[in-house]
Amino acid sequence: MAGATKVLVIDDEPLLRATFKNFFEDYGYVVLEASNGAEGVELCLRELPDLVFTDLRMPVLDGFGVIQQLKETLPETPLVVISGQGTLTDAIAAVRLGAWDYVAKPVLNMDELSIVVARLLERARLLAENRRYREHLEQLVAERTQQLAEVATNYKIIADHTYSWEFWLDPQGSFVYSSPSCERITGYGAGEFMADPQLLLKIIYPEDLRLFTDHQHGSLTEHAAGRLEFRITAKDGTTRWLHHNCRPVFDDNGTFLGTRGSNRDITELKTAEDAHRASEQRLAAIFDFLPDATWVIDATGTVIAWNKACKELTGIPADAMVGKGNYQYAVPFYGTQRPMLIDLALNPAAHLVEPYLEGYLNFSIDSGSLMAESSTPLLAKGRYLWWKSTRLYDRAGQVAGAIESVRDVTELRLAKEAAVTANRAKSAFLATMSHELRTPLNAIIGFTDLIHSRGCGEISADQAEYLGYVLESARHLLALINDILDLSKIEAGKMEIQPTVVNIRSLFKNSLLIVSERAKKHSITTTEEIDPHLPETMYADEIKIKQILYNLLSNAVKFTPNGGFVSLAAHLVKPTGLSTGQTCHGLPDVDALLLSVKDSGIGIKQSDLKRIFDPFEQGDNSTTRSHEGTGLGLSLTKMLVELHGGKIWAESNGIDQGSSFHVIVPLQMPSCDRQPKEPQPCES
Amino acid sequence: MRILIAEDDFYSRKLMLAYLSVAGECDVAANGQEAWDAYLDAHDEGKPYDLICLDIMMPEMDGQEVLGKIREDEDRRQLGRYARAKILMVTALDEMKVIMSSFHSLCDGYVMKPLEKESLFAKIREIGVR
Repeated sequence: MAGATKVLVIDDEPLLRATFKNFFEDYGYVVLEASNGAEGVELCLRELPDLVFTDLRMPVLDGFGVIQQLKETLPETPLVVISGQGTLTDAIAAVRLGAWDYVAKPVLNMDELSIVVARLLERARLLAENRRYREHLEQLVAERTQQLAEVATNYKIIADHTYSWEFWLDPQGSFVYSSPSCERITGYGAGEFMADPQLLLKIIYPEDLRLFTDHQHGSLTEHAAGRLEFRITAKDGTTRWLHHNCRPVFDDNGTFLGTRGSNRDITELKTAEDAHRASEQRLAAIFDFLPDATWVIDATGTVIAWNKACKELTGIPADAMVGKGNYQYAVPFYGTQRPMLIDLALNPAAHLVEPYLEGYLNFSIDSGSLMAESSTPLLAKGRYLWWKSTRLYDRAGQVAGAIESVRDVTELRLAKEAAVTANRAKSAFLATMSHELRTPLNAIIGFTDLIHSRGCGEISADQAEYLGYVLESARHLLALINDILDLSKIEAGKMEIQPTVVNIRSLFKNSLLIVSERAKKHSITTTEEIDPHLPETMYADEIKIKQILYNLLSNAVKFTPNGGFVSLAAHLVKPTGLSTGQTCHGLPDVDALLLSVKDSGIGIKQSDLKRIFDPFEQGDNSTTRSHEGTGLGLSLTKMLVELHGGKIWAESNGIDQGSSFHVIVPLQMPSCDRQPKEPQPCES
Repeated sequence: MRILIAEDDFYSRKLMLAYLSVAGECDVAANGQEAWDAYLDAHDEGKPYDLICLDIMMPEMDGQEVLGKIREDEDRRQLGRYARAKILMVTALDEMKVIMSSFHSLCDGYVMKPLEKESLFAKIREIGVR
């Protein structure tokens, strides 16, 4: 209340007005005066006094009118009625109308008046204060209300746009709230769920219903939080997987308000999970199908897979082994927890594992896989096992573990050993047989020769002829035996190459010399051609090269009719630019000697070009009888060439078109001692 | 000329005998031990063999062993080059390797079975037996 206190006095009696004026001015109040009601109201509205005194009986507008008007316009302004003696009824009526108090005329006790005034002013002040306070509160409430409305809007936006199906169930299990997202998931709207509390139960898969109702029972009666997964049939008939997660809610007083939770659509996750599980199952089936005992460890050495074959081999089922670490998998094999090949694959720190590798044979590494054999595991005494192990990587390329397979190769091994033994026995048998066969043959040939050459007296021409046949047949038989022996030696791997420094040109001369007599007898011209680029010597097994040459040359002479020709040619072949490249691939990449024996003989059918190198084959079986020979010469020759790391092939334009045989052998025997030895004399 | 034929096979022995009896006085031995004994006896008699044909595969003592012992004995007797026996090894084809490798230096030569008169006598002439 700023400034001096204003008091308005409305009375038609000037004396009374003066009395009040004097009295209040003594208190420092400003006193306004009005002589009738209308004037008073007007003044009051203009000056807004702090206190109004009004007479009741006045011209123009009486006191009651003033009260009525001011009560509406200035309800907080204290209004005091001045009433005459004996008009108490009026005063009461005025107070009922809205006057705050009354004073009786004549106003004699001014002290009493001042108390009344002070009380009324205080009351007005409180009233105004109360009003302001109320206004302030109202403003606060308005602000708060608006804030709450905003928050509520936000929450509604959140709730109405949740991805999962958010819900609130009352303690009886009916929906208090269901987010509209339920429609996306189930096809049914929130309203449908609110309207029918049984709807959810109706669409849950019958198989999952029990699970769900048990859970629901738990959450409603025991107020337990819970989660579960179940299936529903959506409105469109499709199956949806829901992940349900809920918690009980209580108010501040601990009263149960129901459960709050959400249902998440995990159909895609489940589908992926199912696919993953199916894939895992498939892999497990494949893994179990493997005939080799196979197990897998992770990077820490813990067994993560152990297949059926493992169980069959060791007797230990997968569930007893999976999850075990610390070399447990070695126990069935070795009786002790020790590193195995798989540990070496996992951690190539060889020094850790090396002491244990002793039992392994034929240890090898091939593109990251370790392989070994062993014969002394506890598991299978006397069994022979083949092991293979390799490291496994994850998608980031980090070591994820290792896998090891073990195969029982005992049968294979035994079969191999038996084969080797049998082969050895066969070779020994053949060697003995050859010797035993040759010994009497020596006598036959010797004595026949003795008689034939008149070593024990004269014989007739017929006798000489027939003995000649005996001799020829015996020699043929001997050649046959010798060739069989050679072949069996090569096949048994017993034929060894003994390379020496060989003079190429003298080798040629000597070889031609051997057949020259026979060639001369049949008027066959022999020629030789030696590439001047060829070195003087080569490094090879002289006897065998000579045998090769002799076989080819004697064949050529044998199959060439009288008056024909046989030529022997030798060329240097460099690793690149082979003149007959298409037929001699697969040769070592070194300088080589190409030997060519050509004749104008009976030729070879195209279809027989390969077959002639097989044992007991001649170009045409019908010719066998008309041409001597064991039928082993070419196959023996081929083997001898191959022993030298060379190749042999034949060419012919056909029957009666002659033929040529080509042999290509490296000038330096590969992978053999290069130290030249003295050439050894050779009798063959 | 004294010739010793060491050969375990009866017919081969007969054959050698048939071939060589025209060349001199032949003795036969059916195994290595007999050959060795015969060699010693001949020395004791003061008429050592000029030519000894040793089959390689023989029972008791094989040709190579006899060869070694004879040469050793001749060394002990300090016989000169011409006083030593000419020794011809008789081999089968598959025994060639053995001859070529270790006993090459000890023998004078070798012939390969089957024996034929011409090649046998050519070899005998070649190694210097008159």
